[in-house]
Amino acid sequence: MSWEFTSDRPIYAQLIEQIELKICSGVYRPGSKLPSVRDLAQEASVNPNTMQRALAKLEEDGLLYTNRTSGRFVTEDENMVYQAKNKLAQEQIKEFLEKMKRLGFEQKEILNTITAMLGGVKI
Amino acid sequence: MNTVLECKDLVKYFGSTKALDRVNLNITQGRIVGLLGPNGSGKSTFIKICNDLLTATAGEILIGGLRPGVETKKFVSFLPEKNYLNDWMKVSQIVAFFKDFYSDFDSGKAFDMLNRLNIDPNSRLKTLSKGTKEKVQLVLVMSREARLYLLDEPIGGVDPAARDYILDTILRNYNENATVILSTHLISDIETILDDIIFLKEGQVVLTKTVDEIRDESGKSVDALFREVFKC
Amino acid sequence: MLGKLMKYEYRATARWFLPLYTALLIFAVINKYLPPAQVTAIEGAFNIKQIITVITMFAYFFLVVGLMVVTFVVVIQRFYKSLLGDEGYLMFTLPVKTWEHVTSKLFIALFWNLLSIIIAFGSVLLLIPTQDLRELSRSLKQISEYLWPAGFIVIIVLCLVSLAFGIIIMYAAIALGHLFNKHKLLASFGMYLGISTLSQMIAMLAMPFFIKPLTNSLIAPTPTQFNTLFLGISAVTAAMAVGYFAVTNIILKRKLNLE
Repeated sequence: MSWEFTSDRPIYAQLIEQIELKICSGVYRPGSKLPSVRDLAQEASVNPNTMQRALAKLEEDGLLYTNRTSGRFVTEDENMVYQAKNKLAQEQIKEFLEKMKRLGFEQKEILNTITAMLGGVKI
Repeated sequence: MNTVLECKDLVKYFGSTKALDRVNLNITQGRIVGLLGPNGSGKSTFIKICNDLLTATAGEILIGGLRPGVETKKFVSFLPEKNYLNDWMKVSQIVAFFKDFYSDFDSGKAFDMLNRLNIDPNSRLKTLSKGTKEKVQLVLVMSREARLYLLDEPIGGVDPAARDYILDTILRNYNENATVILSTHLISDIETILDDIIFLKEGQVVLTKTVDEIRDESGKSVDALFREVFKC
Repeated sequence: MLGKLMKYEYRATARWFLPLYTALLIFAVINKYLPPAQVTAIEGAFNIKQIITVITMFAYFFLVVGLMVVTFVVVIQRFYKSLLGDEGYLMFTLPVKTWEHVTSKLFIALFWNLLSIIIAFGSVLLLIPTQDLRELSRSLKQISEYLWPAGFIVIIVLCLVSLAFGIIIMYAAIALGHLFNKHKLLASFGMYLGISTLSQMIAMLAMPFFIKPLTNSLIAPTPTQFNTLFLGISAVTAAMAVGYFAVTNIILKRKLNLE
């Protein structure tokens, strides 16, 4: 569970992305309890206030919720997680497609290459 | 929002050299603040005045609403750049010394940290290496439940692993009632743990922002911005 | 807090004095009970007894001198190193008033000075052959009859005040030397000379007030005159000591500038 940051973007924004990723990929399972802000901040070697800000935003978005007495939890709404996962996937694919277009590939070519690679066939 | 440190028009002259030039600051509780600037910018001078180790030429500093003195020393924990340990004591004795004079000192925590660092409490301070002495000093300072921690170049002369440990300790000790002000010129290592940044240039405050504000507004890391602002 | 500071000050200094005292007393005892060896040069060949006697006498002598030197050096070093060296960062960060730092070191320095004097004298007394001791105690009795009771007190007061004065004047000199940016040690030394001279001048100016009534009977002053004179000297010395203490305190409080 490593946290990596680039130096030119705000940390809280990167934290939001990385926590979201961990939720979507199942590192933080739906309904599971998150470590405390302090522990998370320590793990990521970031300022606790910044971590708090990122978590608050994710709560706002509905991926997390706080139970006053027991702490912070990932949403139990699996559909919501699935949707977030999808959204991330679409963002990644969009980026990929744009890169491929810049390389000069046509849509059909892209699709063929992908199918082949997924099927394990060497190009 | 409690103000833990208030600085009004602070001026400090050393003879005819102006070390601090009308510094104005307002630092709130629960923040980790980086006081950044090149050597000679006045960081150490500022921190020493906060600790009543230097007297200001003009202006004033209020810590928790009080002027630096005996009362503020009770809740301010200071880590100087220098090695200040006496050489005739053992590690356990200096822990006892701190416990004797500081009512907010937690010796259990201190021994815990020393243990984790593999420092034998029975060893004489005289026999420890420079790096180990610095770790002992850090342990002593962080074992206090202080309201303000002033760390002057805490990661300066230490190896990268020790650096990580120091930053980790600062984060682990964090609580919303405490404030940490650390001065350094090694910025990229500590950027992510800081809330607020103060750039000090030739005794003047040239910038006060949060880390994310800087990254948001300039698209650069604090380290990169620092290099720009303090270009030689 | 003052008590705590003194406790640590004692611990920091005891490691020097206690071994020295022990060695000193041991050598005094050795010298006392060594069979008297005639150290007559005409005797001819040296024998072991003579050599041992000479060596132990020298050892004792050096220990006494050493004790005086160590007492002097420790007083200065404790003040300078602990408050104005790197250790100053430790001491001045403590929630303790400046005068408490100076006082704690002064009291412990005073303690060791007194103890050193007592032990040195005690060891000398140990060495004196028993018959001579009786002579000595007889003359001491005479003097004490003359002095008792106020005289004793006055002498003790004078001794304490003078010792304290001697220590404070060194502290003040070191503190004043600290004000200089370069050559601090040299400056301290210069300040010491300056303050000493100043103190002597003050003493000379003040003395006529206490000596005048005495001029008629300098040869055999009455107890009252004796007391007045010595009390007067004590008072003037004490006043100067207080002044120098204040100077030291102000410098450490307002003009501290650790490297």
